[in-house]
Amino acid sequence: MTIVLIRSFILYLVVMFSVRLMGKRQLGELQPAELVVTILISNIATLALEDIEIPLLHGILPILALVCYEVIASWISLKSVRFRRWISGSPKILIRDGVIDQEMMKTLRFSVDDLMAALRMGGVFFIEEVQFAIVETNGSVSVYQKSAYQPSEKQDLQAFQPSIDPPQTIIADGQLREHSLSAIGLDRQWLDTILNQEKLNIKDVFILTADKSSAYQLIPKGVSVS
Amino acid sequence: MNRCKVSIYILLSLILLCIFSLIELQKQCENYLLLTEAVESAVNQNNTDQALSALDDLEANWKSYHNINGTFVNGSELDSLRETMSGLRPLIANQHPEADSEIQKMKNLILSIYEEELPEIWHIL
Repeated sequence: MTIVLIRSFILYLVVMFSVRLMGKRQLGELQPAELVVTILISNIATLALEDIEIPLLHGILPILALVCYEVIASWISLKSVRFRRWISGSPKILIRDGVIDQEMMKTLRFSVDDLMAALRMGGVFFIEEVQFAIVETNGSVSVYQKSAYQPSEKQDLQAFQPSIDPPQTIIADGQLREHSLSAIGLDRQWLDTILNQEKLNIKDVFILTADKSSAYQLIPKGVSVS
Repeated sequence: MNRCKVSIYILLSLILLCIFSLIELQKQCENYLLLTEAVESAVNQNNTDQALSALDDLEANWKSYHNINGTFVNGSELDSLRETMSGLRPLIANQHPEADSEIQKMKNLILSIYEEELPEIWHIL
């Protein structure tokens, strides 16, 4: 039992290290090869966890090797377009100017239901509204609507407003974040003034956010929705 | 690029580890084979005391390096060798005719431990 506990801790560290080495990606954004490697890692880790007759090295070695192959392959695909196409494939156009490419759908084994679901998820309910629908290399579908159906934006209405940075969290759960304060060009003096006005200490603040224009929102600790 | 460098270093370390494990296994298996042959020649000469003494040496050597071997080789392979080794003592002590065949079996097991780790095409497949 103790051996299993220690082995699981070691494998946990190895798997965590491997995932960090592979980089930050959401599950849905994984390329097919990355997804396969991720599943393989979990399977290999399980084998080494379940059977203590298998040396731990036989579990750790393939996990690290697979991750290293994956990272190196990613790096090569970054440098070589041909290798990238070979590893990840290339995006395929499913709808062009409101017309579905049925041959491509057969090639990709994409059903009409799959296509309609992907369009709905992109906020489109009518095929004729679509200028382009592209199946990306990770399997997701990107939809580009015809200009007549695209939602208007502020610049279309000539309603220009200056872009401002989003507010930063200055205090979170009684902890001051100095770097956030300096990131928006404010200083400790400004913070002390605000806290004096509110008659609070840093440790009494649940959350304090502020932006570059010094506009802030403060929620003291202990205030809850009744 | 940093991740790629780290990956290359890890891969190189893994390759070095594999080479080290092969060298270590070869050294140990050759040592076990020599000691097994010493037991075999004593058994062939019907010298029970010398055979048991050689078997003691083999067992002592096995105990010393068992943990290192267990790091590289699947436990079940080592278990079958250990079982054969422990069954050999009463056979030698009683000068049983099966002792010789058990010694041969043990030699084959020792050889297989090393040979199955060799990166040959049939082992890979």
